[in-house]
Amino acid sequence: MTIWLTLSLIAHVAFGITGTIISYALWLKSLHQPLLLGWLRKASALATISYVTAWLTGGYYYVVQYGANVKPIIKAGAYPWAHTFFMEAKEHIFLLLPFLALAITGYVWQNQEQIDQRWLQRVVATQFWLSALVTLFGVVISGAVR
Amino acid sequence: MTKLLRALHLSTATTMIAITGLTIAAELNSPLKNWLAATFSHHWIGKGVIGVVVLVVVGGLCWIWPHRSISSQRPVQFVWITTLVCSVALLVFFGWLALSH
Repeated sequence: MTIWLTLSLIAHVAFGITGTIISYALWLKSLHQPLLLGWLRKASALATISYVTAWLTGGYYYVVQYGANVKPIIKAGAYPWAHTFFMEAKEHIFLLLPFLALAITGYVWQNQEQIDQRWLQRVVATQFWLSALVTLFGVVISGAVR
Repeated sequence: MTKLLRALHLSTATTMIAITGLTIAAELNSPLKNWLAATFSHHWIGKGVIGVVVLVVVGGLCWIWPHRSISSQRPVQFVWITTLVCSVALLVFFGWLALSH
């Protein structure tokens, strides 16, 4: 594996986990009364940047390395369904995250009186749980490779 | 809710639906998947690119389209419901695919 692929994989994992952590913090802060709008705006923008970066770096690794060199190992191993379910579900559910993060960022950049806190809580909680699920699936894939 | 934010939310939800529909359709229709791979060098890249195009086009249309005043929370509700439905649809679909192989 080249240095660029290694760095891409590391960056993908790092930014993905960063996005997940920020999403969790957003969820906690969305429960706060009154809303800490300044914090929420910066955090949601950072989450969007994290997910987009994870998307681009993961995409590079996935297209160049995973398909040709990793997927065959999993498919030939004891857990071929690990690719069919965990990787396919992960790579496609992940595609929803950057767009969801962008929508959340737009939502918290409104005036306070236009934000419904209950809906904000629901949306950021969904972002966190989806991100956590995708991360968990990534762990399963890594295990299947080993 | 501003026109821009409404456009962003509606286009985000539409993009998620498009990506989910394209994903399931491509898995069930090899020529479509092959077309994505041939056009964008990889089917997954194709879905991402089409997603961004849908976001921009639908967002632009929503922004310029005259609209009646709607509940300011309706678009974000749509985003939330769409996220849940698309995620569950993808999980169920790939679970079914894994079990049927």
